[in-house]
Amino acid sequence: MDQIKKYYERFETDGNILEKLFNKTNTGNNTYQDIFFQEINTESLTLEDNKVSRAFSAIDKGAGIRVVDVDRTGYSFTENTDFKSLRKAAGFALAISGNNRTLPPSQVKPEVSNNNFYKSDILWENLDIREKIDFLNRLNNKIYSTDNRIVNVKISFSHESSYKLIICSDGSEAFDFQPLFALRISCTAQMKNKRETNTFALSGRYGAEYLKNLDIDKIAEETVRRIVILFEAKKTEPGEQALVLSAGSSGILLHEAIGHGLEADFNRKGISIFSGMLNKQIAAPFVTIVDDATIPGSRGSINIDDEGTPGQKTILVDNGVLTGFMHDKISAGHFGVKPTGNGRRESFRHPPIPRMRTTYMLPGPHSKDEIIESIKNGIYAESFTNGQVFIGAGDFTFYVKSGYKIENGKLTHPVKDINLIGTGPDVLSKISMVADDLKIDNSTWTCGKDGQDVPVSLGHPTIKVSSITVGTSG
Amino acid sequence: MKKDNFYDICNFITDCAKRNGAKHTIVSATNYLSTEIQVRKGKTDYIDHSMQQFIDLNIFINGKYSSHTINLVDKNKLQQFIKQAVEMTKFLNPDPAREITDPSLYPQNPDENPEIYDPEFDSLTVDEMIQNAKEIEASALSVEGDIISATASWTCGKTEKLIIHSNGFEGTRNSTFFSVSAEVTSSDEKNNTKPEGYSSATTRFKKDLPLWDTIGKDASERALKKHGQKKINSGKYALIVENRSVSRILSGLFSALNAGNIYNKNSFLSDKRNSLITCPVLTVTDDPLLKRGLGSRLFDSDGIKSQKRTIIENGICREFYVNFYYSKKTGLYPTTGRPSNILMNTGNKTPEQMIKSCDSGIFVTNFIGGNTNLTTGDFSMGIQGFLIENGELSKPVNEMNISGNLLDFWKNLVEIGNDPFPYSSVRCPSCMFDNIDISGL
Repeated sequence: MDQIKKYYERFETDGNILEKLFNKTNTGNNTYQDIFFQEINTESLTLEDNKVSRAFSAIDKGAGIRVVDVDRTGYSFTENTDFKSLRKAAGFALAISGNNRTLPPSQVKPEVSNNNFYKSDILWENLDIREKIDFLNRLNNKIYSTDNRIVNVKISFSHESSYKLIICSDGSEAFDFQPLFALRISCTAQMKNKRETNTFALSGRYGAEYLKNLDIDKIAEETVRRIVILFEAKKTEPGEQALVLSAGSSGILLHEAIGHGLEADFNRKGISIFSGMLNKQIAAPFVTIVDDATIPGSRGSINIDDEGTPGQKTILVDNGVLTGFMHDKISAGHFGVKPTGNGRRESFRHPPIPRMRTTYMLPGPHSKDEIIESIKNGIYAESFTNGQVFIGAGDFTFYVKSGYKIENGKLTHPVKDINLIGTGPDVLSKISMVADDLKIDNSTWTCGKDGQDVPVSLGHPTIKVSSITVGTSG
Repeated sequence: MKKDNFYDICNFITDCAKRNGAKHTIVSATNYLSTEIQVRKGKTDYIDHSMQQFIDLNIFINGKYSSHTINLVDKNKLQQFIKQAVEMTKFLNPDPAREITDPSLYPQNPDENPEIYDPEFDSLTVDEMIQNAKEIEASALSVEGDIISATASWTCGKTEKLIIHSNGFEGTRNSTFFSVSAEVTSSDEKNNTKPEGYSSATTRFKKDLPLWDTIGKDASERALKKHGQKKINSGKYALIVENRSVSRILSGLFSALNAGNIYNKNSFLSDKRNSLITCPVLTVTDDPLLKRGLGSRLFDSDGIKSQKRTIIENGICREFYVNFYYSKKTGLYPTTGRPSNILMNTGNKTPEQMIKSCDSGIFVTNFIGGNTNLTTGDFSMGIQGFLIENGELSKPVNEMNISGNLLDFWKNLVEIGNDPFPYSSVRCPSCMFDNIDISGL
């Protein structure tokens, strides 16, 4: 309990704040309310043109107050956390409550979290800035010295320390400290008259002691490998082809093709293509998909979500059968189930909504070699940049930055800049092989929904999709 | 923060930063008030009404530069934050190009009125917004067809900002915006899918918004018209891109015109100034002084005076987007760092007339996902829309990609419509392209 007192002190509040804000005179006592305090300290450094000549820092502090009447939400935030400002915000949030008040969301007794999924001995902001500048300069030099075709390097390194305190009218109270770092490299190489650019990124929830774990040689080699391979890329024919997704960042397929459609706010409204498919076989029996908050140090991991529910592992598809959705308290109340710890928000300026954490597929019975050998004509997709989905029609895309052509069971030549497009349920049903080589990707994946960005991660074993529409330009 | 205190706070921060060792500063104080309403099933589904404040500080010390944001206005906390901000800046590697803007680039008369502030903002009530949103939802539901869900949103915001540069520039930026939208999901039972439709409008002045029922109806019609959408054979097609989606394919060109990308060797347009980069029928201007424009401004983030510029003239690239820093790096004259209002020239035909003139092609209503390789200009992105056969929209299509190189793509532009989309800072009419690679079946 001593720890929570530190959070009370940080935000100059106490555990009875909701009772003080919502008393009988303002008629808030029949609704569900919560208050979310947050302080985020951010810093970043940018190396450009061989110099770390730019820095950024920010302090962002405030509180968001939510009132929920059945499944309708009133929200307001304030940056001044004195009682008068909180009271004003509470008044705005209460505007949602009509005359027909019923039960608050999720009647399940809240659980207490003892999770500890990230380690932070040294705060990033306490690490001497010179150590970070030195790291960036050494990394820059290493990238240039790895290949003489490199003509430009831009690196940014950012970190944040986020302190959260959540107090809810259902009796739950939770706090968390969430560290996060992100390294982003953009690099251009030139070969004769041709130029190519590619990126490399790395992120995780670690404290500043992790800086010494970042292997400069390995990062530089991988960054350079990703660019120079693009010079060898040849154009491939467009149209429907077999697709192999490499282990790791191919998890973007799950994120776009199925993940968003299983966020239960969409299903509460019945507007996802997956609404009504619960307990139905939607993929082959060797396909199991989870959304997991518990991987140590992962960018998508959370000890608690932003409603105070403990972070946990949620099975979405079990041996091919759709078994569950990702819930916040509102959607869990609607469906009469327990919240799954997916209620997340960008900051105190936004209400929590169901969001993914680290989404991945469990290993399957096949091997990577077996999968590649099974294909006569197709694409092996290796690195990805972005994707998008329309959750009703199920149309989704993701963009392949680099990969290989597969001909007669062998990888023949590199390919690049390909957009893949499909519909979620169709592609899931076409997953015909899953390898045993699951890899979680530690890149800077950021998911956008309803104007809110949250850090996520994803992962995948090597899989085969029997056919998908390939758009090729490179 | 009280608006009357903006000067006090900005001057306090400037003095404090200088006392700690900053050579120059750019300081701004901002208040932002916003309200968002969502209505679903005839009831308010979501309300958010909030006020935020923040202070931005930019520090220049002999070629070292840092920027900082803080939302605390307590002077003790500010002093501590500023001290740390200046200290961290001193450790950076110097780059002589990191300098505060040359005063000769500042506007002489920054109080000119670009009409981006609507005083009606203050009289708009939450009840009125809820009522309007209910009308939008009702109009969406009034369209005949199998509609599962309609959500109407009404958002408005007011920004008040004071900016002070320590070498002699002061400017204010007060603006409002009003935005309404409808999001509709329908049920296409025959094909076991739930196509969505979306329609929105954003303006600087409330009275410039369209009639409420046009937004709702448009969203529903867009959703219902998608029923039965399928992919078709790969091949080369004529493409007519609807006005509101043209900005997506124009954005690749505009990113490549950014001096930062040019300096960092990842722009395919770096050597194309005064060269033909699109079909000669195209002229695009950047007009920051457009009355009521969503991108209008009297000065940019460097404080550089705004002026109208022709970016592409009859297909020829005339200007790059050069901020003050990259003007020092590249030797190019500083223009502005980022686009304001993008205006495309217009033609004579309506999109309907363009469709009628097309024997075989695709009318694109949405792009989905995709990306552009800015270094090479290669791009690939998903499309949704309708197949055109004999001058008519014959069936909805989806799950297809267009791909190619942006230089080739824009050289295949054959006709520009007469219908610039008014509710965006990028005001493009519908455009017709010939001979575009589409991949489907």
